[in-house]
Amino acid sequence: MFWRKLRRPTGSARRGPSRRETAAARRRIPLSGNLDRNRALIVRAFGASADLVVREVVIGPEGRQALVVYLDGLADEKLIADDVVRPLLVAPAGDGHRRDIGAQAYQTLKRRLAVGSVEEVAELGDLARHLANGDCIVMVDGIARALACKTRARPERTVEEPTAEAVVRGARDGFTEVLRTNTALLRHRVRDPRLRVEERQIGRLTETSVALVYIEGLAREEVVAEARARLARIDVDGVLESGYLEEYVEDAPSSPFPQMLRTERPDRVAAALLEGQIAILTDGTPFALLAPVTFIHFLTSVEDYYERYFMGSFLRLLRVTMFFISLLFPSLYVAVTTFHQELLPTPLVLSIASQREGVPFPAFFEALMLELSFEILREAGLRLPRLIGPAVSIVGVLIIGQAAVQAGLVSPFMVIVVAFTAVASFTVPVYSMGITARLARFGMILLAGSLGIFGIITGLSLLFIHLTGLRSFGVPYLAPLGPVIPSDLKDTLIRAPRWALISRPRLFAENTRRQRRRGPDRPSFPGRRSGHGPRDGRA
Amino acid sequence: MATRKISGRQLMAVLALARLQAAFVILPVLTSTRAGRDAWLAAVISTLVGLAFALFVVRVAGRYPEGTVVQFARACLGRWLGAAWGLAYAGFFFGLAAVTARVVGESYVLAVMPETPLIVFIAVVVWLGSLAARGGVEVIGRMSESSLFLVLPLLLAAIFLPIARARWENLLPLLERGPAPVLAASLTSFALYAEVAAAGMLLTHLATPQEAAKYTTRAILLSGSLFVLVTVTVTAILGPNADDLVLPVFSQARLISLGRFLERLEILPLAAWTLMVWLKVAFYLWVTATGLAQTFGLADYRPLVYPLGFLAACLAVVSFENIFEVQEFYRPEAWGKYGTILAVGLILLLAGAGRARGKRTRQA
Repeated sequence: MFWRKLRRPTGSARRGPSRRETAAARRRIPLSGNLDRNRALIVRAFGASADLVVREVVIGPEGRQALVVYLDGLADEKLIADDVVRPLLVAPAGDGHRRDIGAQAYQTLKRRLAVGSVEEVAELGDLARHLANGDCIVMVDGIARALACKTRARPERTVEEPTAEAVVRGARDGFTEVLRTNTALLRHRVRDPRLRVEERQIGRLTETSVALVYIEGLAREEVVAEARARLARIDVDGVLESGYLEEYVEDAPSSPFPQMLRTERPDRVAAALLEGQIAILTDGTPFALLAPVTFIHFLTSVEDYYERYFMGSFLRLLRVTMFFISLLFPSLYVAVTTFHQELLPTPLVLSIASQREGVPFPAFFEALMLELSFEILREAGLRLPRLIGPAVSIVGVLIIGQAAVQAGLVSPFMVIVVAFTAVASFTVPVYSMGITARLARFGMILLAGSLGIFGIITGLSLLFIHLTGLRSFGVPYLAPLGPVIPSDLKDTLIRAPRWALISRPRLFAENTRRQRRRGPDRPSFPGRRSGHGPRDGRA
Repeated sequence: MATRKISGRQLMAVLALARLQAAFVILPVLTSTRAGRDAWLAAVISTLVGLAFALFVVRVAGRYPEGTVVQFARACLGRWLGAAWGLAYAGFFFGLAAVTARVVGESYVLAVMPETPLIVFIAVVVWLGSLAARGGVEVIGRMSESSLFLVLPLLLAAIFLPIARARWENLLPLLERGPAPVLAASLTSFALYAEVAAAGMLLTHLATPQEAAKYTTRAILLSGSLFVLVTVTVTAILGPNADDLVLPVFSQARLISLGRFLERLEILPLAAWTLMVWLKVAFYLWVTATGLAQTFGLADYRPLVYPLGFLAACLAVVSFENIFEVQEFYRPEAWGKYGTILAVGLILLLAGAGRARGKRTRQA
């Protein structure tokens, strides 16, 4: 594919690592045994930050000097007071008479501190990182090391229902902005120890924690290794949302199609992990990234699997149809009314023609205009403060729905077409794919307006060529429809019943057996004795 | 390049679609003009002969499993003769790509958009073909595979939905003008099967080489049986004088009316056919580009695709004045002889040379 070639050298391939190393080297300043110098180091590192708290304490009966340092608001002050400072005040600082036996002194201290985990830190960079994470630092005079006590109490939103992916039936918890909460939500669902959470820090300034989550033995080794390598290549100053990572990590950055699936539902991530996909969780955002994904993933919703399979399959088919309608409907209308009126039954043509009589614009322009104004309305409705919302929708409805038609600027048919397209486009469950369809729609209208049906066929062919060549972490984007993988078709356009989904998708999973036994898990049909239906023991 | 693999089903889809594309538009015409109501007989004969030829191609290509037929030719015909062989082979498919593009252009101008210049359609189809060809053999294989599932239902619908209008007496009497016109008609039809020689470039990419014959046979039988069906229904529905019609399958699809509401459904077969056309152009451009690259020892065929596509589009525009010349080109005397002699001759030459070389190496 020609746009594959345009691929940027992702991040640090050339100059990144060296720069990063110098930054690290600059930060590698050892702590000294002198408490005042250490204090000066910290204060210089953080500047005149108002949230830096440095508290002096005197340890135990010997009265040795110590410092307790933390960042206000990030650390739990009550925890510090009760479990760090109080034990320090009563504790003897080991056999702290001599300066050079600091390690042992800390061994004693460590045991006395009543917080969850205590780490030793010998270097300013690590110390600063611990502080920024909400840990509390304890330094004792005469020892060139510090203790970092885990006292994190980061401001956190509670687990709430995900707003961007609503379901009727299904779990109500969604990811939050805190990575640890999110990994906990996953562990809670997948309890097997083979669930791996590999964490690394990305972003020179933000040092955002990014977790690569997968199930060992299910996810393909190559995919995990590739994801690891791609994450390691990233060299930016900051990562504030998973979208930052997505653009660095995806296979074809110049493709308009999303190659990783964004979701804020832990159950969706858990389901993906069970199919051998990997997830990338980013601290600071509720959106997780799933890979590898195929086109059809973007048209699925978790509810397909929670509702009974008839409904699941129907909804799946409906969404696929609606995706194509949202892509093609306006362009088909333009092509048919401009070039191929003979395709429609005569009464319909006459009715369209009579309504279009007063419209001064060609259908092509009319469609572009209306589509654009719909996009404007949608964007305005999304951004404006909640209170003004109704005003905009009233104006939109009145101007577009009524006045424009009455003034003869657009034909009522076009309004119907655009409105239906808009509704259809919202059935695409993954937002990023919906955006792509909306963008492609404009291209389609242009093609249809210039070449008619042939233009539409051309546009579809272009998409087809592009999508066939596209891969997400090595998995063909159109799989299992191209290449056709018959055993995976059971969960594509329709969703087969759970008990028939006995294997995982071939291209993702290392181990494709999902159910160990085939027979007994199937429901028993009336009149048949096999199966696991309630056995009548009394008979 | 050799690491790129396609599955047996993809091989089948590529070959079958390339063949079906012709069956869709031109073939019923050329066979019926000669054979009249016996067109289907010509179709049966040519399919059987085509099958034999396809198996022969598989056999010859199978003698050199480590490369394509072009590399085989270089290996056993020597540097200069091998290069000449490669050029002839690549040139054959280059010309076919151009003619295919021309046919689709003519059909669109004739049937759908009479006021749009021909060159637009040719340029777009060749462009799409070049894009796909640059994607490589895997992409072509995958696209063909999924297209097959898209095209088959549409084609079958176009064949069977108007079946109520068939007058089967149109097919009788059998062989009213003797066997000669039928045989002549099968010659052109066979020449289109001779395009299966393109498989010589594909077989080395097959993931399961031992299944080459199986899937090639399936491709020929699939496209052949559909082709026979098309000729039978076209003759039965539109009458033995279907030669006045340039695009008989579309004329046939035009008769479809679903619930008196959906009337002009020929647009659907037309869309499917367009898909097949650029897939075929992509396939042949890929064959040409890879063939040339291997003839001249280039590492990558991809830089050749766009220039070749451009030339093919030009060739498509300047080769013919109008669609009747295209039809004329497909007569048994012209294309029938040219295609058969070139394709069969090339493969025969290769087979002979390969056998001679085999003997020599065995003696040595």
